[in-house]
Amino acid sequence: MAGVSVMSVSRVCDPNYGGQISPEMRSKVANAIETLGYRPDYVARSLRRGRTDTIGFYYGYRGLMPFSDDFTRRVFIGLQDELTNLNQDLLIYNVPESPRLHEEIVRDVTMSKVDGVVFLPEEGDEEIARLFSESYQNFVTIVETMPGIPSITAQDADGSIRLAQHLYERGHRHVMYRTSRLRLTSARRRFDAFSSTARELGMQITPTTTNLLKDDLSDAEVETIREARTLGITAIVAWHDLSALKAAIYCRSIGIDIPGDMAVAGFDRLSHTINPKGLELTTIVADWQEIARRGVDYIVKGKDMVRLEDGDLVRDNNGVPHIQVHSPLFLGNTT
Amino acid sequence: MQKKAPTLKDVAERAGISLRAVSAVVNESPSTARISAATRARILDAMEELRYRPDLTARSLRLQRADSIGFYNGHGYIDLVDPFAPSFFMGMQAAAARASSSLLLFNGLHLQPLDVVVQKLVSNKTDGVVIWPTPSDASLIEALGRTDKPVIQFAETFPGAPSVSTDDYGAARQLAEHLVSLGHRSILFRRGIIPLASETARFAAFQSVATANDIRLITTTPADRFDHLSDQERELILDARDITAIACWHDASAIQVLRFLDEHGRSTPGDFAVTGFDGFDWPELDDTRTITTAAVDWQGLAGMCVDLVLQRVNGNDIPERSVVQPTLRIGTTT
Repeated sequence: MAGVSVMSVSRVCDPNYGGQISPEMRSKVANAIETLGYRPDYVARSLRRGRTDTIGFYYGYRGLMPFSDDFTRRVFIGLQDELTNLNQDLLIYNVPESPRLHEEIVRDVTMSKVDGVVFLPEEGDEEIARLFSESYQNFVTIVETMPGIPSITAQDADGSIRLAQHLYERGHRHVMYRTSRLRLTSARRRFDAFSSTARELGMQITPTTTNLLKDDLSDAEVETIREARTLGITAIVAWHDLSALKAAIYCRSIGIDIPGDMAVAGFDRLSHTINPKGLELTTIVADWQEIARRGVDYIVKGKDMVRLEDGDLVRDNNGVPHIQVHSPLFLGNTT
Repeated sequence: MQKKAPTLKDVAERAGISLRAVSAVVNESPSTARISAATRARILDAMEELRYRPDLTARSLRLQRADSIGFYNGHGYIDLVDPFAPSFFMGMQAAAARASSSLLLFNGLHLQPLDVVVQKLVSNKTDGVVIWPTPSDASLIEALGRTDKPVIQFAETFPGAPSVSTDDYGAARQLAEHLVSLGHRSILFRRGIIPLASETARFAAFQSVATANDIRLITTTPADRFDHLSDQERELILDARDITAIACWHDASAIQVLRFLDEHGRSTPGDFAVTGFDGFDWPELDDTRTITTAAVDWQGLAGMCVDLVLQRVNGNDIPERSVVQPTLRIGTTT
């Protein structure tokens, strides 16, 4: 119809074609397409090419992704940046209002409409993760780790070691550690690394558990903080910043000076609306944006192409790669 | 790094049963009635053993259903700096979830030539597409309108495709009349950087009310798309002799003004009345300070877009223009 070769038409229709196409050629083909009402069959095309140029995003069916808190916002910005760089689309799996059978979720997510799936696990996703890892879909987890699935995380352990050393150098010998009520692999790694380092250095650790999900202080924690002077506790460390902030706010409310009477430190350096003016938490910087970017990278370019500068690659016993993005210590005014 | 998935043929070989019978069972085709329970069990066992999963890309090729709704954003980048994007995202997610549909976000398309964008949007990767257009997408909307792809415009009303928007003109008139009724005779209107149809309609409403009431309307544009104040605006506000009200095309712009007034010790509504448009909850505001604004249910509006596109996918007619009425909310800034 356009009087040009099939090859030329195919090039015009392929957004990934890198070569030169003359404007006349483009308009000739475009006119013929318009006249005929031709519509390229992307699904058939992706069957032939073995690629869909689409990345899936599964976030543990934790409800709708709000995109409004700092964590999900940074993850989304990272995903969006890298998808745009690599000219990929993002398929966000629907989140049904009622819980579904694992089988159904796995069927949805493992179906081959995408080249791979970035998986942000939440508590209780172990069973789903096992089914994912046994499927023929490519997965990479971000933030958390799951057995058998490559992961991109912060340096949860190394960051926590830096924090323990920092507190030791500042003379702290007894630390209250606020753990997470959620069974998250990141929280576990942070606590394990912090407590083993602290013990090696001869520091004492009093682990506590927060109240419910919002990291409010439990009665036992209130008790511990009130008795801190007697117990010799001079620092509070929390598994993430929100929890550290809640502790700091409580300390201030009962007249405990930070960092004079009590040092406080967290992990992640997210911004929170409850952060009191002038208080800058000492923390470990977790670059969630970069972590999300590399998740996309991993799916698109394959494991060999993942940028490793400024991060660590660890392989587990089965050879599955776990990439840890550098997470430096940030010195605020709370330690 | 692609793992090799087992095929229907592998299942047939493992079960020792014809490919046709296996295919009938896997695809739940009507001809399965002729397949015995024993044969069916053998096939299901073989599928389980091989961990066979039907290739849904191939299947959707036959069924012509993608079970996903696309989202194209002409701004190129979804900014999450203000509550607007999170709010329409929530709406789309919720509506897609109700319909067991996934959301496909198209990325980087705004940099591609028009024909490539059209092809990608009408492709069978999605069942229908929600478009959030900018003025440079007018020809895209027109081109999409000539195809039979179910598409809908979010918030804007370019000719060629159905839309869900808010009554920008009517609600902005109410805001303008509210300011006039409070005795303001000289009003500064802060426009947006991009002349969106919504922005233009709100401005037109203020112009019309100003003309009818012999009000002086001064127009300014912010320094950037985040609505920071330009030098000209700073000067104008600090030296203002007769300007007593600042009307902003949307809340994000009003928030910047409030911040600036606070920094320079100006009071609201004492020195300046301030109005916005959107009605979001802002971290800067609390019970003691609320913006006078036209509150729009952006979340519901985005959900409506998804619902209507799905109606079209199912072959139903939908209205060309759906308009959601905002609610005038008088706050402490006027």
